[in-house]
Amino acid sequence: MKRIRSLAAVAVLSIVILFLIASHAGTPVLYNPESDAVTPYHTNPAALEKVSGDNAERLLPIMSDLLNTPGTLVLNLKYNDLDLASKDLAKYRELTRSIDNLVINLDMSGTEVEQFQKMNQKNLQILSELFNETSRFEELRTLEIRYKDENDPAILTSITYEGQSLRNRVRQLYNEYQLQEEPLVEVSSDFELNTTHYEESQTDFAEIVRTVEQVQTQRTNELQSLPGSASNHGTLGISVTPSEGIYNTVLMISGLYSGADTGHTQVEIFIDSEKEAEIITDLNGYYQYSYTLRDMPEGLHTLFAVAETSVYSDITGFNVKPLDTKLTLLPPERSGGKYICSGSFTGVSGEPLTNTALQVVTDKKIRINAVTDGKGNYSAPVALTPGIHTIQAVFQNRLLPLSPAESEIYTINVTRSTELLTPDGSSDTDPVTLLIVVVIIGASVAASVFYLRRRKGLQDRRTTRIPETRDTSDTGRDSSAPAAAGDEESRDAPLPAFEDQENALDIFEHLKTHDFMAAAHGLFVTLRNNISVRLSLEHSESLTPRELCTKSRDFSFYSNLKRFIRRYEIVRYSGTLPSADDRDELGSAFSATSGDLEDEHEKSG
Amino acid sequence: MKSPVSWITGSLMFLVIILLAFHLSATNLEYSRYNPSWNGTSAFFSYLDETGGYTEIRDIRDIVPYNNSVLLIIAPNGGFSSDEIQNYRRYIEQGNTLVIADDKGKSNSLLEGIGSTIRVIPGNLTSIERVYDDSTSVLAFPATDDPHFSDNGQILLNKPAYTAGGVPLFTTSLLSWIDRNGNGRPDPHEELGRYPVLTTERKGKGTLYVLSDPAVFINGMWQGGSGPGNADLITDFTGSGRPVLVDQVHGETGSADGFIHLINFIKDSILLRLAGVLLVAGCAGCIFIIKRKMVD
Repeated sequence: MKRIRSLAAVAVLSIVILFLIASHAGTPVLYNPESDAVTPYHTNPAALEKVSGDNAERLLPIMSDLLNTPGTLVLNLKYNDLDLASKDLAKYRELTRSIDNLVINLDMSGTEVEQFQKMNQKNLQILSELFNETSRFEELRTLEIRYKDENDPAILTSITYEGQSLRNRVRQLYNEYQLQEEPLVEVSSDFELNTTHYEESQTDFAEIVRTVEQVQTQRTNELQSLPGSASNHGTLGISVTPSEGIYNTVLMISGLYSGADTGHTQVEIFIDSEKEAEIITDLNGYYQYSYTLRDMPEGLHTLFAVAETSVYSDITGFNVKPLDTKLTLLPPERSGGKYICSGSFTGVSGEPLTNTALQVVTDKKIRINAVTDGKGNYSAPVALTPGIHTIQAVFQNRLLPLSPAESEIYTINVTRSTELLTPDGSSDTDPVTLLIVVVIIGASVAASVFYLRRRKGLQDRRTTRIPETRDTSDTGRDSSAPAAAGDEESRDAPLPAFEDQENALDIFEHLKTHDFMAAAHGLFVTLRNNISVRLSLEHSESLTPRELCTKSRDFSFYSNLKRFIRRYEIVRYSGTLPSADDRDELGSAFSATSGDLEDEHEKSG
Repeated sequence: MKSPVSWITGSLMFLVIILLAFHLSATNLEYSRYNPSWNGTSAFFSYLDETGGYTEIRDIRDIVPYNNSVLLIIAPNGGFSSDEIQNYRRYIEQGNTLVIADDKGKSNSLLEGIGSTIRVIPGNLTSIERVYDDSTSVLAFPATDDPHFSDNGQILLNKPAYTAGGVPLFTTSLLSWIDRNGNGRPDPHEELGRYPVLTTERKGKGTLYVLSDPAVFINGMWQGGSGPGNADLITDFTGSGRPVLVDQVHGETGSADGFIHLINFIKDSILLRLAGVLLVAGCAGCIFIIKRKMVD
């Protein structure tokens, strides 16, 4: 029972050790520099990975280029060299992309570098628009010359109105560009960057605005003095109420057409020179159109109408103000291997902002698009790898009259265990590790089976062998004793009992002259077997001479056995050949012990 | 004739004694010259040995006789007495060079005492300009026309502090900051800017250098882990042919524990050294007498 418990304990321990080894089998390094890589004073460079310094080295030169490029771009626009300006703009876009990437790669979000990057992004938008508006303004100048020659007042009116719209836009862009100057110069000076070219671009931009205004003023004056500009077909009035609004404000655009055919005349309404609607006047020549302020940037916008009879209204406009917004993000919830990020996007007073695109940003890098529903709510699934991540919802769209907004930031620690299951529920464990574990367990089981079967076979064979052969635990030479005796039948003899003692003495007498060592051992084995049977000792083959002696302490044959063992140990372990007297003494001690055993047996019998 | 077993046992015991001696003669104390692992300075001291040698200063009074030498205090542990400060002051003013490498600000009392305007400001100096994937492996660049240092390449620092006052010789790049919250990235309240890391000042006839990172001397940085200019910088300090002194009283390079501490303690005292010699001689005499009696 005790033996089974020991075996079970060893088996359990072995399995535990195997599992411990298997868990580290994929990374068999016992020590590496990472083990003690960090102290409060320094970090072991050997434990760190080298990084390319290219990104950091590029950052300041790129920032410098970003400050210089607007200078040449605006200068080329001032001199109407649109080809060169186009190339400058492409370069500026490329540089802006580079700094965007660097801010992400160098994890510089929230720093002055990011401020610089954002201000440059806005400058790029302003200058891109300026390029488009300037190009269009130049086209209008060409068209104006052509239609002046043709003396077509309707077209010239249209050109003048569009020019007016462009003038408003260019002026608006300049105001925005001016607002950028002070903070950008301040940030740049912190990085010891030269802002001369950028500051010159402000001056050049102002000159462009002046030129556009001069041209437009002259154009308007010329239109008014143009013979035949007052249409023979009548007049077209236009008004807008209110003249100022925010996101979702409904403007009422209306007017009266008076002319030859006032009723059921088609009128086209233009906002920022883009046709917005076609409507038909009523019988009295009155028209009305509701316009909701949504997809347009903040600022001044031009408005005019044209009747189908080429009668133009005066040019008017309205102002769009930005609406302050509020963006919320609920704590992300894990669902099916992803985190669901949801929240709402509203105006400050709680009115929902519907069908508006915003972004969920993880680690200030990865952006996932989401669109608000009819109630201003949004939801976006985000996949996260193990590690610590930040999640935030952001809104920024300068093409809408909505102020930028950011939600609160959530930090999520995604552990390996939570990532162990993939969204479909399957295991994500490394297949190599699994294979190693399976191979180790398989090999262990196979080895165990092989060992147990082999052991069983050995035990089967041992039960059929003579005592000398079974006794292999004492010395390696035990098995030679019966062979030396030359008695082949004795190999298969049953366990010797008291009646074998004479046979043992015969063998001893026969062997003691030429292999005394084997002869003495034969006597010991015979005694050990007989005593083991007599005293019902377990595992008798493993008993040493002294153990046998100790176990016999309380019996009558003890004193003779002790005498035998003392001489036997001298013969067995000293390595010297005993004298003739010692040999005889060993034989007589054996006989005396055997006699005592016999007496003991008879007494108990 | 001894048996083979005796020979084998003797050899094994000899090996064990040698290993024990190696073990006892090493330590894992930060910056210790007896520490052969990455955070010790044993390689730097071997370098000094190979390039003209050095003198360990175990009593500050020993520096006073010099007038054209270099004294290194690497990772000072503070505790400067007023007498010692006076000796340092005399030492530098009579034409020597004092190099202090400190990132904990423990040399500030000494700097103040010798009349220097330089101070070491402890802080988690961090930079985008780095060599390793660790924001505290900061690169610094020459910021001077001084020909001794302007030709050096970038030096790599390891969790450095920065200095204030004096004339900066090396500064970090503009993309550096004090990472107060330790998140490894610049936050809005952590201003980017250049931070001086090696500063100099003339005092009397001598020169003072303050380096805000003693880690440039550790084995991990010395053995292939440093920047291109680190070796040049150390050569600038120690390779001028002048005697090199290393302060083992206040520098943590002299820190030792256990067996080494005992040996150093004995080495530092003439009386104890004498007692040690007498003890060894007495033991040897006793063994000789006992053996003689046994033979008789």
